[in-house]
Amino acid sequence: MQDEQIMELFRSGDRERAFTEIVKSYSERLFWYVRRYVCCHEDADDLIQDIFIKVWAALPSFRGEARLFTWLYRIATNETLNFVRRQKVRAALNFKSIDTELERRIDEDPYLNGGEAERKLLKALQKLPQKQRVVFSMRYFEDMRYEEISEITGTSVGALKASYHIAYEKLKKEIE
Amino acid sequence: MYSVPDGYFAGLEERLARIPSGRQVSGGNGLVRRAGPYIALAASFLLIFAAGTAVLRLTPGRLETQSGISFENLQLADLLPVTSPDIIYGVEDYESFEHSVSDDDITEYLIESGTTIEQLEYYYEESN
Repeated sequence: MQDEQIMELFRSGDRERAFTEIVKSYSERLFWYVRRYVCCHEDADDLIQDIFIKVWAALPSFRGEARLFTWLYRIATNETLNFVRRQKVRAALNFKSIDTELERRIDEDPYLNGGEAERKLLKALQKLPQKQRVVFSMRYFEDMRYEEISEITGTSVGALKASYHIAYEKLKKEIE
Repeated sequence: MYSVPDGYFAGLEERLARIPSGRQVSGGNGLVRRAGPYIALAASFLLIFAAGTAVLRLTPGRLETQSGISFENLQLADLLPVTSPDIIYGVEDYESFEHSVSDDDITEYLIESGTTIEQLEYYYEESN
């Protein structure tokens, strides 16, 4: 079902059916989006459930001013960044090096099929600051236009391009 | 780059589709639903106020006769410096009170309160 049709269902008051259609249309796509932020399948599974619980809770207050796609990605991004932040704080409080821990999890991930280059890229991505990581993931992996990323993040297109360029250079240096 | 277990997405859709039934979202009048929490908060404050008023009305002048403590003595007590936390908290063994909060409790509080890595690093530097 197209986003416009889902919005029609939503406006007509059939929120539960609108939510079911959102799950059908976006669950897989959002799963792959968050999968690159976390280091194991189980974390991604937990995260995607948290995201859709948030979506259901926020649906009554969704006025439709933003596009459905934008709204969903905004929730997914915020939840994912909170999840990653909590992981890092938990590791710091347990006196563990989060970088070492994340690299170990990437190496041991049985669902990561990529070669050495992909592993290096994922490890390097973990080290990027949040904003650069978000922009890079959306542009490089999700193939979003800068205008779409701007709608989701609330950042200007110019700033996004600069962030992407910086992230790209950092990753290139890290991988070489 | 990644793979998932066989049948994962079909199972995921089923689990996510059950969210509305697992979450009790009240229907009916939208205005009532939106105003409900605020009404509950106002009712809580009224209840506390009523309970406090009732206690004050029921205990006039008893404090003086019960333990010989007068209002003037209580006012004077506020002016005296308190140097021992035992007096404030009424704790005989302050050290055991201090250690009744576990490290896990502290960890969970710091995580849920939004403490950033930079704040933690600053705290550790200052305490060392």
